[in-house]
Amino acid sequence: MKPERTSRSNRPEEPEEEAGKISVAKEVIATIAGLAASEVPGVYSPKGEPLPQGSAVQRYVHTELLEGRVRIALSVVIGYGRVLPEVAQELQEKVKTEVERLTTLPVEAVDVEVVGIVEAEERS
Amino acid sequence: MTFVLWLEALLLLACAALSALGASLYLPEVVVGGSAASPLTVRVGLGVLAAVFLVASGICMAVAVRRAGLAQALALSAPKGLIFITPRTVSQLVVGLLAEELGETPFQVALLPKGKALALRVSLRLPAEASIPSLAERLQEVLSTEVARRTGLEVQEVQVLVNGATLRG
Repeated sequence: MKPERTSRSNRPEEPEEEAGKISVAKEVIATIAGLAASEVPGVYSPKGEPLPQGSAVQRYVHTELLEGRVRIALSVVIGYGRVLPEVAQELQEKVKTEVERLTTLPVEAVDVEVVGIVEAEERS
Repeated sequence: MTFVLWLEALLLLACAALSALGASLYLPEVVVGGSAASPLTVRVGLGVLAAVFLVASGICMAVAVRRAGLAQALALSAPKGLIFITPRTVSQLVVGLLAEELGETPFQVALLPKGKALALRVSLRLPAEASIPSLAERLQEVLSTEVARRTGLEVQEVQVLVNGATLRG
């Protein structure tokens, strides 16, 4: 049965099923979003390093809940030579798809803040 | 940050208004009373203070307006959310492009809002043996085209200020 979703202020989503509630914490959504972001070529952490794996990526991802819908904001650095909007849109697509696939929660928007450019890509 | 600037501007404006009020009304007589400073001196002092606060408030407002305009010029709307490119990112891109064109040349980059578009102001030194007009024109072309292509932002104007010449060797 498709779970019915309700939102709470601190606990993002609690899809309801007959057997009980399933809660997905904001941190989990942030981690999934961060992992998805790390798979996009040309995307780095604001420090100019590859995005960290696991919960460490949460510091670069902000998750917000609005009436049962998730809004995600990411701060990233993009490799020099890339077309920034193209990379940012690829990032939005990837994050939205992965979060929706793994949590079944609807993602309203993925906002991307490009805070810098790194030359690491040229070297790699 | 823009909100903080607006707040600062309003506080400074309030200080200016209070100082002006103090200078124009009976505050000096009431507060200073029989002290060494004459009411006129205090009034002049408060008037100067009001002017300083007013100027500071004006500067804060101007910076806040500029930042708000810049934030608008640097935001892109995409189907799945917003894309915001920080001024630092654009500056880094300009630095990279200039380094490709000119090599190790000292320069400064400033971003200015131009309606919903962007204006770039670049101050730099060019090689002494170069033809300044043609090189500056090429830089304008490269910067406006490449910044627009790589960021998706509208670059309306590129101002190039040549403030010196570099000698090779």
